Amino acid sequence: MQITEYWRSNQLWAKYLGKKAKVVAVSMMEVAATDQTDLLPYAYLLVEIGSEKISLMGVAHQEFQIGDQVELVLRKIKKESIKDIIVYGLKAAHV
Amino acid sequence: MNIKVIGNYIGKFGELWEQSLTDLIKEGVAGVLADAAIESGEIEAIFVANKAGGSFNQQRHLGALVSEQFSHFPPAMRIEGACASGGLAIIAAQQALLSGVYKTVLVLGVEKMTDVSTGETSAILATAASREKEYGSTFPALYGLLANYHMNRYGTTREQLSSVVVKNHLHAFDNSKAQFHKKFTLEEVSNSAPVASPLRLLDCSPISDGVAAVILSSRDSVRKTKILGFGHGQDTLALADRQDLGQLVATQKAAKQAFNMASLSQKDIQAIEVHDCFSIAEILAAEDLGFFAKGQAAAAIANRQATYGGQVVINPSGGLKACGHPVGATGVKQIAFLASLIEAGKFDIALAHNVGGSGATAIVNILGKK
Repeated sequence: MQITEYWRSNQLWAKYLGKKAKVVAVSMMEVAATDQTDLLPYAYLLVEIGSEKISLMGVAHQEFQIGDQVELVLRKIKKESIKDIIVYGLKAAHV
Repeated sequence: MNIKVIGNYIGKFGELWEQSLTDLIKEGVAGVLADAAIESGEIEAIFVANKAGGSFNQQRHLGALVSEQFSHFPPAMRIEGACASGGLAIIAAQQALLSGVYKTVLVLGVEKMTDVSTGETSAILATAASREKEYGSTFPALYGLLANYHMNRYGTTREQLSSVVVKNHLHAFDNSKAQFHKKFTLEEVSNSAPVASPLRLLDCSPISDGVAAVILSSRDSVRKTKILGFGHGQDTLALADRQDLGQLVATQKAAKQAFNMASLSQKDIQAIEVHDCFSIAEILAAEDLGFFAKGQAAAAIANRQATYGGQVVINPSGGLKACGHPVGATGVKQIAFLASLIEAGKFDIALAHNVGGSGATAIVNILGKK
């Protein structure tokens, strides 16, 4: 992830961080793209926040079901590297 | 509409270690010209379908790479729409023919995917999802969300997902170019390695190399296959922006346009090639194309209504699942394969359905005997 892209994505944190959401659909991932392989297994979720829907990763190793209540928290979303910034982003966690 | 398929060619799909991207292109050009039995100089323009040659093979500018296979260097362009690149190239060619600018054009779809690791492949394919709104996902995960939603809302079962896979692997035995000629049981599919729940390894189409090509023409021809109608639908790139995860609206739009253009209905269609990148995708396609009511395709497929002797034959080639899915070639392969079946007298009217991403782009073509 490029630094500029990371900075732009950070602007969403204030909007969603700490908000509660409801799980609309979920998939537990056992295979991921190269940037996320170190984080496996993790859930990928589509959640509803009021009238809005967003999709995001779940906190590592937590399992979710449709209808679960989750909280949006800040966690690492990409594997760490000594050359790059450590990338944080929004994830869903059980309330 | 006066567009005929006057030549078609499908190369063997699979892990083709000995063939480079250029080798595949040369094979496709030579194969389709031989099938059409025309002089290479008759090709007036070329439409190349390729998703990610720049990432898989460090090779962009594929229009020029295909054009240079001809001594007269016909005008060529590469078209990209993720897994719908092939369908979009067909649409672009049809529009060029209908405009009257050209009379005979080549559409060639190609992808060389197996020279990079699975992790890199997943990352390259994931660029067809929304980078800003679906970071951290993969296509199995996005279709996993669709499957999870469909199962919860319509009661679709794990065994019904597996029945799609079992059927398509059986169909692939009739297709010598298919990547896999291997039968699976429902239990083998349902117990294969988990990838992105509820989807397992055998629910997923494979990583493939391959080429497919067709020559479309508005000139007189002895060949039997004609394009009767086509449609192109779009929806949001990100799943989160869709109103209803239970339906793929782009497919519905494309199907409506194609059926209206052809003045036909679903009852007239004998065979369909649908975009079964994952088992759930075939179920969604069968419903959104209008062949089965919403929520009923999974049971119909499990009850043998989507094979020979049933309501409609779905994926006689084995589909993406068993024939293989060299991304840029897939939409062209569907047209080439159905044209070959119509030429052989196996079916009179057939439909092809090609999807990009998690359903943001959809192309439908209806082919028939002229």
